[in-house]
Amino acid sequence: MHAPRVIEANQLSKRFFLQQSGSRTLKSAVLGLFRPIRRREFWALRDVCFSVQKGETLGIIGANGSGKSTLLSLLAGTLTPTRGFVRVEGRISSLLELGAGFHPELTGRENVYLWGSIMGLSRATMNERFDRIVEFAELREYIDQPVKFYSSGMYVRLGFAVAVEVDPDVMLVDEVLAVGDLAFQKKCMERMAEFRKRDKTMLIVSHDMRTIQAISHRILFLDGGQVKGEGDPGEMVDRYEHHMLQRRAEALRREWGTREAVIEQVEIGTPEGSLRSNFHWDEPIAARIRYRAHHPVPQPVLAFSIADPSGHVVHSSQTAGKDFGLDPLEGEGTVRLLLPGLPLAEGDYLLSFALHRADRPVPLHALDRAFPIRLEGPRATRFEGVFVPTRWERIA
Amino acid sequence: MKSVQELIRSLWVRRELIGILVLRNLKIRYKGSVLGFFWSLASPVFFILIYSTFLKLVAKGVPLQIHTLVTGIIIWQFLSLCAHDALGAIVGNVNLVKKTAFPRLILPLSTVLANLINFLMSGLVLLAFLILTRARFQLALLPLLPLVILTQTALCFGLAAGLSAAHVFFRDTEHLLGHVVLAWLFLSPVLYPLERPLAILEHLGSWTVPLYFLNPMAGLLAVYRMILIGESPPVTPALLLPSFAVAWVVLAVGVAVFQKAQPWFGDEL
Repeated sequence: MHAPRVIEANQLSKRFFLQQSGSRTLKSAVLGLFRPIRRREFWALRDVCFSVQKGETLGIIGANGSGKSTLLSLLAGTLTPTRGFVRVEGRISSLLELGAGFHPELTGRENVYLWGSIMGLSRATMNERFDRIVEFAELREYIDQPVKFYSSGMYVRLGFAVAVEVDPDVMLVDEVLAVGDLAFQKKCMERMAEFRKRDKTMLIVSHDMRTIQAISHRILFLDGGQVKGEGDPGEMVDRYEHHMLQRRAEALRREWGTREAVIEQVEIGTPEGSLRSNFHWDEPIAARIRYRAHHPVPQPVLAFSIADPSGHVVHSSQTAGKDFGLDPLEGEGTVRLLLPGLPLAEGDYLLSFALHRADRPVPLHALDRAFPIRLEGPRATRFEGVFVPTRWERIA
Repeated sequence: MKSVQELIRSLWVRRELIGILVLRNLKIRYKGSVLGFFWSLASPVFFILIYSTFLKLVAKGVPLQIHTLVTGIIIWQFLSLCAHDALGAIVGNVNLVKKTAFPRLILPLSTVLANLINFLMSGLVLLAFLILTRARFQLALLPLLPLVILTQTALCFGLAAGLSAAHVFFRDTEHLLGHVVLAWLFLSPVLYPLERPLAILEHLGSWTVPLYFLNPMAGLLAVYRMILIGESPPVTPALLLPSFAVAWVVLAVGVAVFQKAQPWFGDEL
C-alpha cells in the first residue's frame, strides 16, 4: 500500500542574516574582522519534518513570510539548509516564477533548449518534445523571436510549457495559476491533473484555499517557519482560515480610553472556569473581567459587544440596565458576564469590552474587538446571521 | 581526489548544457551587431592595423616591435576578458541560480570556454598576420602550443571561478579588478619583450629572476613568443616550469574556493 517516499525532509532549518542595508563590501568585511558582527538573524524555517510519497500531491499553505517559498527553494536545491537535510528523488521541475530563467536576448527556441538542458535533458529528447512545447504554448509564429519581444502572457505560456514538457518526477508549483488568461489556466489545470494521474509527485503553494483543498491529497500548514499542522486538506484549510482570522482580529483590535481605571484582563471560557475560545452555539460562555481603578469611579458602566469578522457589531449591551448595576469602583475587582449561548450563525466573532463612566462620553478603557471566539452552529439547521426560530406550514 | 573525480564527472554529464551556455555567451556578445560572430575575426585585424600604423607613424625610434606587441596584446586579452566576464558569471545569472539546480561551476566555465573560442579565432588572424609579415615562426616548437593554450585556459578558469564567487559576496571585486588587471598587465611582458624586465632584474640580483616567473603570465608569454615569433630570451625550463605550475595551482585554488562558496550563493543573491 505504501508508495515509496520521494521527498524526505528532516529537521530542515534555514537561517538568513538580514543586513542593515546594501550588500557586503570588502570594507565592511575587513572592519568586521575587528569588531563583532551585528547582523540580525532570521529563521525562515525551523525543524521542518515531512515526507511525500510517490504520486502524492502535497499542498503547502501559510501566511506571507511563513517559509513556503524558502521550503520550495530548499527542495529545488537552489538554497542550502543551515541544519537538517532534505532528499528528493528524481528530476525536479519547478514552476517558481515561470520563464524567470529565460534570457531576453535569446529566441524562444534557444531558451527552450537552454532550459531543457538545465533540466538535464539531452538535445535529442528536446528535439522530440520541441513541437509539443511550441504547440502547447501557442507560439508557433514567434518561436524564433527573441523573448524580450514577448508579452508577459507569452513568456508565462512558454515557461509553463517547458516546465511541464521536461516531464519531471517531482513538480514544484508556486502560485502560478494566477497568471495567463482563463483558457490557458484551464489548459494548465488539465495538464496538472494528467500529471497527477501518471503517478507523479507535486508540491503546490497557493493562497487560493479552494483550489489547493481540491487538488491536494494532504496539506502542510506552515506558520513562522514551523509546521503548524499536517494532514487532511479540509481540516488544514479550516485551521489556516481560523489562524488568519485571529491575525486579522489582531489588526482590528483597538485599545483606547482615559485609563483612570483599566480592564486588566479578560478571560473567556466555560462557567466552570476552564479557558476556551471554541464554543458550540448553545453552550454557556463566561467572561471574567478583572479591573483596576486608579481613581474611584462613581458611576461605572461595563459595555460588551459582539462583532463579526469584518467588524460589524451584531450585538451590544451594557451593565447599566435594570438587572445589574455596578457599584462605584475602587481598587481591584472582577466581574463576570454569563451568556447562556449565542444564537448566531456558525463562524468567528470578536468580543469587545469597555469600562465607562455614565456621566462622561469618553471611555475609561476600551478593548475593541480584542477577543476572538469561534462558534459552531447546530448540526440540524443552517442559518445566516442571528438564529430566529422558524416554522413552515402548508396552509392550502 | 575522489571529490575531484566527482566534480569532473558532474561537469561531463552536463556537457550539453555547457555547450549551450558557451554558444549563448557568444551569441549574446554579438547580438544585434551586423557582423555578428565575424567580429571575433575583425577585432584582431583592427588591433593589428591600428598598432602597426601607430608604430610606423608616431613611435619611430621607440624600440617596440610590432610582432611582440600584437602577440602580447591578443594573448593578454584572453585573460583580461575572462576575468572581466567572470564577474557576471553568477551575479548576472541570478534567475538561473535562484530557480534551478545544476553544478554552478558550469557558469564560470562556460564564460571561459566562450572566451577561449574567441581567442582561438583571434589566434588564426594573428597567425595569418605573422606568416604574411614573415615572423620567425618556429615550426619545431609547434607541438608545445596546445600545452601552452591549455595552461593559460586553466589559469583563466581558476581566476574566473574565484572572481565569480568573490563578486557574489563582495561587490568591490568589480572596482578592484580593473586596477589589479592593469597593474598585472604592466608587470607582465605584454607590451614589451621579456628581455627588458630580465635585464632590470639581473641588475637587482639574479635571485629576483625566479620570483618574476612566479607570475604565470611571464612564463606563458615567453613560451608563446618562442613558438610564434622565435624570440629566444635567456630562460631555462627551470624558470618556466614553476611559472606553468602556478597557473595550475591558481586553477585548483580558484575551483576550491568556488566550490566552498557555491552552496551559499542563493542566500546572497
